[in-house]
Amino acid sequence: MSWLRPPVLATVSSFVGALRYELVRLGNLRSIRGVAFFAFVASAVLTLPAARHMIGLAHPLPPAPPVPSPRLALHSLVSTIDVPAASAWSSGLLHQYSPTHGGGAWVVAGGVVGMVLPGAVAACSAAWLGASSIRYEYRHGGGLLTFALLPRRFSVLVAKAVVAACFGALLCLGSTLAAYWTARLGFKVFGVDVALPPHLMLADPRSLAMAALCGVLGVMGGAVLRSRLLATTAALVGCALVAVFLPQSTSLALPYVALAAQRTVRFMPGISDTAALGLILALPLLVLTLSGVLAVRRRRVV
Amino acid sequence: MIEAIDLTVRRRGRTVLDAVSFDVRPGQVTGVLGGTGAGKTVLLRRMVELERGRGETLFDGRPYRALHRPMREVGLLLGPAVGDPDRTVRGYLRLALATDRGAAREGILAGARRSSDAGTANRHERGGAFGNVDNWHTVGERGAGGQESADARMRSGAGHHFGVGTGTRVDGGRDNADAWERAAERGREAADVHGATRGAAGRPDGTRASARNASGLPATVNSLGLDAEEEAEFADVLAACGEYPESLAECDGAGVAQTGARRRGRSHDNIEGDDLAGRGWRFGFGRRSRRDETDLADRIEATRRGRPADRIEAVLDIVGLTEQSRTRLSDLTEGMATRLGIAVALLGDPKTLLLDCPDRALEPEGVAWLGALLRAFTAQGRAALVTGSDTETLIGMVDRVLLLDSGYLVGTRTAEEVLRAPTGASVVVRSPQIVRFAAILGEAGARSTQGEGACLEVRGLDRARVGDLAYRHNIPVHELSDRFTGSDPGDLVLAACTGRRVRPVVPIQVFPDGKRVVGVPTPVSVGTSAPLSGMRSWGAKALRPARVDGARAAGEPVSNVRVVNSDADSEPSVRLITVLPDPAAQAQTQTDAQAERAADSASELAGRAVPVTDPGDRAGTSESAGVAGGASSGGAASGEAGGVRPVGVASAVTGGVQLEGAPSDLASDVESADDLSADGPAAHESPAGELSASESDSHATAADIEETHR
Repeated sequence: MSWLRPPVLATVSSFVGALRYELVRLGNLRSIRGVAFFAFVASAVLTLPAARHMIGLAHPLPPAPPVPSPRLALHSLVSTIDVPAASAWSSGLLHQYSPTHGGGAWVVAGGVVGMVLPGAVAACSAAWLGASSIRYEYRHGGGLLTFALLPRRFSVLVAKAVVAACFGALLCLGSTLAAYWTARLGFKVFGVDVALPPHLMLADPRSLAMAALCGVLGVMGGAVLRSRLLATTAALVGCALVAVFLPQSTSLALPYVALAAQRTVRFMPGISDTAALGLILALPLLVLTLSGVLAVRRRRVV
Repeated sequence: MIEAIDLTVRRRGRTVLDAVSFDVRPGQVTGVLGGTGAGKTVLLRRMVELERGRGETLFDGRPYRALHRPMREVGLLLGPAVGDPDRTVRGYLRLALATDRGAAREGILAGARRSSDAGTANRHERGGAFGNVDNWHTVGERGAGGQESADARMRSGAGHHFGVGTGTRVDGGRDNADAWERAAERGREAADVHGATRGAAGRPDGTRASARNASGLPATVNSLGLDAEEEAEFADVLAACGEYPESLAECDGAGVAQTGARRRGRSHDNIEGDDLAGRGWRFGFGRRSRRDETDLADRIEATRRGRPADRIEAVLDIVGLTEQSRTRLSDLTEGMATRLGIAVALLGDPKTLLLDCPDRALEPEGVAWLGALLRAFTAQGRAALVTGSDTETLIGMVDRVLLLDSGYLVGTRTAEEVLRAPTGASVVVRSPQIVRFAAILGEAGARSTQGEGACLEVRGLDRARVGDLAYRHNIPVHELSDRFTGSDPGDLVLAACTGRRVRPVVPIQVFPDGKRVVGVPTPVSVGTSAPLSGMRSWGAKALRPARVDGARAAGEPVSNVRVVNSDADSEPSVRLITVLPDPAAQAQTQTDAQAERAADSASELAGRAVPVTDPGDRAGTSESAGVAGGASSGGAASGEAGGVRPVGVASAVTGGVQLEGAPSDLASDVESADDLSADGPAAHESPAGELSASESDSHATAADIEETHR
C-alpha cells in the first residue's frame, strides 16, 4: 500500500489546503457578513407575523392532528394518485399547515412551518454563498490564483462544497436562534405570557441537513449554471426533492413526486415503484453533481 | 529543471500553441519573447495546466498537478493580482499562503540554510554584504558599468533574498519618487561603506581586520557616521556574537547575534569580512525601523515558528510593498498589482519561477529591480521563465531567449547571441545605378535585396558605411535610410535570432500527420533548434520514419523536422512540419524562365556553399559564397547527394543553417531523417536552427539582381 501513500497524501494535502484557502477567503469577504445578516434578519422578520398572531390568539393553539406517515403515503400515492387528487392533497397540506389553520404556532410552538422557515432562509443563503464561491473563481480572475496554487480542481470543489455546507448549517443554527429570540422579545414587549421551550432555540437536525445540502448544491449549480440566481433556485429545488423522501415528510411536493413516479413507471415498463422513486431522487442530483465536477475541471479560467 | 514537451493548445479550431517544446535550466533566466498574440500567456497557462491541450510540462520530472506542494515548487505570476477589491495586500498574501501554511516556515528555514551555505561558499569571494534588498533599490540608479558589479553583489548575496522570513529592512515606496531617492542614497552609502569595509576589514583571505577606531570597533565604522550610543550598541552586538565568530556554531549561544544575522539573511560566516556592511542596516542609515526595536527574543521565536505574517512581511519587503500592505487591491496601481503578483510567486520560496510579463506597468527602476531579482533568484541554482513582448527589456533580464511567434517556437538563442546578432535593421538605398551598387555592396560584404523600383534593401552594413561606398564609387543616391523589419518588437528579435525577415510569410497551418495543408503555396520557414535541443535533453534519439514517410507518400518534399509527442506512447518523436515549395506552385508566382534560371543558379551556389562556424561571420560568408536559401551546409550536402533543389531566387539567409554549428549528437539525431529523405526530391534538414528557409520573396543576391536587370 506504500504506492498509494503519495497520491493520497497529495490529495489530502490539497484538500486541506483548499479548505483553508476557502475559509480564509470567506473570512475576509465582506459579502459573507451580508449574507449572514440577511439570513438572521429574514428569519427574525419572518417570525414576527407568527408572534403577532400568537399575541392575537393570546395562547397557542393545540397542536395539529398527526399526519399519516408520508413515506407510506408516497408509496401508496404512486399507484393511486391522479392529477386532481394530487392537487387536492397538496392544497390540503397547505391548508392544514398554514398559520391560520391549525399548525400556526410557527416557531414559538415548534410547528412544522416554524421549523422550516428559518432553515429555509439559511438554505437560501447557503446556496447563494456556494454559487458565489464558484462564481468568484471565474468572474473576477480569482481562479488564476486559486487554481494556480491548488491545481487539483476537484479538491477545490469539494472544499468549497464542504465550506458551503458548514456555513449553511451554521446559518441555520443562527437563524433559528434569531427567530426564537425575536419571538420571545415580541411576547415580552407585548406582555404576553408564553412559555417557549428552550429546545426551540436549536435548529431541527433535518433543517440543518437541508441547509447544508443546499450549500453543496449551490456550489454544484454555480459551476454548471454560471448564475447565482439559477444556482440557488436549482439548489432549493434539489433540497425540496430530497425533503419529499425524508421520513415523516410533510412536503407540499409529495403528491407531485408521486405523480412523476407514476408516469415513470408507465413509460418504463418493468420498473418498480420504488425504483422509479429512487430514479427521480437520484438522477437530478447525480447529474447536477457530475456536471458540476466536470465543469470545474474543464472550464477555462480567465 | 522544467521540461515542456509538445505543448499544444487549440481554441475553436485554431491552433494557439503548436507543439512547443523547450527546457528551462536551473541557474538561468529563460525568456519567452513574442508579440501580442504570440501565445506567451497561453504557454505559461498550459504549463501549469490552466489551459487544456496536449503535451505536458515536467517540473523536476513531475507534472504540475502532481506536485505535492506546488507553492514551494513553482512560483507563478499569471497577471497582476486581482481578487476581491476590498481585500488588502496583506490579506491577499495571507490568502495565498493559506494553501500551504508550512511554506512560510519552510521558506524561512530554507532561506536561513541557503544564506548560511551561500555565505560559506562565498566567504572569500563575495564582493560585499550589501547584496540584499538595498541593491535592488539602487540597481536602476547605476550606469551600464555599474550594473555588472551590482549584479555580482546580487549574486553573492543571493542567499539573502528569498528565504528570509524575519526582519528584512523596510524600504517600500518603490512608486514614490522620494522613496526611490532615499533608497538610491542608501545604496550609494552602502556602496561606500562596502568599499571601505573591503579595504579595511574584509580581506580576501578572511582574516580579521586590525584597524580599529576609538571605540575599539573596526575603523570602517567611522564611515557610517554613528553616534556614540549607536557605536556602543554595535559593539554590544559584536560582543554578543563573539565579535568575529568563525562559524554559525560559535554564535549559537549568542541568540541575539544569531537573530540579527538571520534578520539580514546572513550567516555568521559572513560577519567576519564585512560585518559592518552586514549590520549597516542597523547603524549605517541612522534610522532604525520600529521592528528593530522589538524584542529580539520574540524575533527568534517568530523565526522558529515561521509565522506566515513574517513571511508575508519578508516578501512585501522584497517587492517593495511594505508601505502598501494595508492598501486595498482596488487602490493599487497596475505596477503595484504586478509587484504583488511577484510577491505571491515568491511566497513559497519556490524552486522555479514562471512569470508572465512581470515588467508589466513597472517603472524603469522597477524593471531594473526585476532583472536583479531574477538574477539573484537563479544565482541560487533555481530556474526562472519570464515572458515579455519588449525585446530590449527582456534581453536585459534573461540569459536565454525562446522566440514564440503565432504559437510556434521559432528560435532559441542566448541573450549574448541575440545582442551580437544583427538587429534586424536594414538600410534602404535608392539609386539609378542600383545594379552596379548592389555588386559593390556585395563585395563589401553586405547582402542586398531588391525592393520595388530602383531600391535596394541592404543588410550587414550600417547606413554610414553604405553612404561612404556610394560616395567612393560615385554612385548617386536618392534615398538612404534605415528601415526596421517590423514595428513589433518580437520581429526584431525574430530577425536577430533567425536571420530572416520578420515573421513567417504564411502562417503555419496544421500539419496533421506530417502532411502539408493543401493550398499553402508559400513555403514556411521555421527554426527548430529549440525542439531539437529539447529532444536532446529528453534523450530521444529515434526519429519516426512513419511520419516522414507519410509526407513523402503524399508527394511532399521533406525539409524540416520537429520534435513532437507521438500519439501512442507519448514518447518524443519527430515529424516534419515544413515543406519546401512545390515547384509547380512556385512556377505560378514566377515566370518559367526566371524560376528555371533562379533554381539553376541556386543549385550551383548551393554546391559551392562554404560551411561557416562562427555565427558572427554567417552573413558575410553566406553572402560571399552566395548560399541559396535552404541550402545549408548540411542541406547542401544532402542536396548534392539527395537532390536538393532550392527554389526561387537565391536567399542569403543567415541564422544557423550550418550543420557545423550543431552538436554532433544532434547531427546524428537527424541523420536518420536524412537517410529517410535521401531519395526524396528535396529532403534535407539541419539541426542548427533555421531549416531550409526558402521564401519566394526572400532576398536576391547582387548577381541575381544584375542578371534580372540585364
